[in-house]
Amino acid sequence: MDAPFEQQAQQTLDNIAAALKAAGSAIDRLVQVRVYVTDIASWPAFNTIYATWIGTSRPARAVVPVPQLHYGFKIEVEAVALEGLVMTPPKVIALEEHFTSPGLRALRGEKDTPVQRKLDDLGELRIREMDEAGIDLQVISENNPATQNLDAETAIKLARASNDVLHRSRASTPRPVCRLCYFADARSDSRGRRVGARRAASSASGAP
Amino acid sequence: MIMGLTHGRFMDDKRFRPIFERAVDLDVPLYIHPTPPHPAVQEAYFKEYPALAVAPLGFTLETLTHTFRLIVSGLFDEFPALKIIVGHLGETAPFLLWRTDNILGERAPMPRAFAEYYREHFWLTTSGAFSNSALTCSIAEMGVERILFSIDWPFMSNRAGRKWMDAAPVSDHDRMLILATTRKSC
Repeated sequence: MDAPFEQQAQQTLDNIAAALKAAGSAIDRLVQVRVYVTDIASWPAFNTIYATWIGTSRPARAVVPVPQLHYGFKIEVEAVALEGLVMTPPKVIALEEHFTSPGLRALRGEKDTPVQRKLDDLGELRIREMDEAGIDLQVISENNPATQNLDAETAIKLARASNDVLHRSRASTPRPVCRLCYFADARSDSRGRRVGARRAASSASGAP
Repeated sequence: MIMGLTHGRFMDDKRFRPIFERAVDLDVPLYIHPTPPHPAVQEAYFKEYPALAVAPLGFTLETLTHTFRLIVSGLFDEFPALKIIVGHLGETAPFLLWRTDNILGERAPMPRAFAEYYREHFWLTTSGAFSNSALTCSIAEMGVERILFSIDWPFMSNRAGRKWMDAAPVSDHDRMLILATTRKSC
């Protein structure tokens, strides 16, 4: 009870989470949380800890200042939750979906058609059509024929540029909701890059 | 993702082994995506009917050949953990598995049966193949856990693909297995 308020608050919330779990419920099944504090000045500190703990759930909540609490504690919380776990619907994923990076588009001289405009898009247009069909996640690959059959130097250069475009778009995707992922040789991480580079190198060694 | 031939060579060519080594090291699948067949094949098979040379038939012949060659080449004996994904519900492979397995088993036996390699190493997506009968055949041959939802956007419509899958003749449990494929991380 001599512990600082923050520590007491965190411990109390952790206890609730454990109790919920033991009862076959969870934080996202809470419907009401009532918080008693001995010093209303602790409200901001409590709210910060609570925000992290509660996540995206929004049960009814009250923070009530009281003169004192039993055993001299600084905080007491009562919470009401529904039994059972929320069945979060699994994510709908589509994995053979395409795009064209600007470098390859320029190289191949792709015309500005409605389909090409969709291939060029890594944002609004793509996400809108995903939303219309209830697709949560696209795994994107550079459109056929990608860097295949180019000479090694060009292939590596364009594969890297393609990776960079994807990486940048991924970075700009709102978190924590991830809507776009990338396939093997068009991935934005360094490992994927090495696969891409190897493929390009192998391609080149097969050049006539 | 591999887009068909590389300077006229299929992926079973020994020079491409580092790619498979790397995929197995990283524990990532390789996706074999269709592309127009070799120019000589296009000339011999499709000269008079160029529309057939691409998605209506040429892509299928090309990618199907690619996948069957990988098996016959012994690649999967060398890389027992290798995972390959193929679109368009396997480019007709599920429909052919019995026959190919049957004949190869008699005439060119491998350490394991052809269909065993296919069922163990391949995953099929529904990209551009929104057919109930093709899906049913694919599930029957491969098992529902080997079927992964795909559209082939923007060449196919997200809405059409989702509408088809939502009404496809599978249980709701299987539908979710197909729609919400195994996900390691994002």
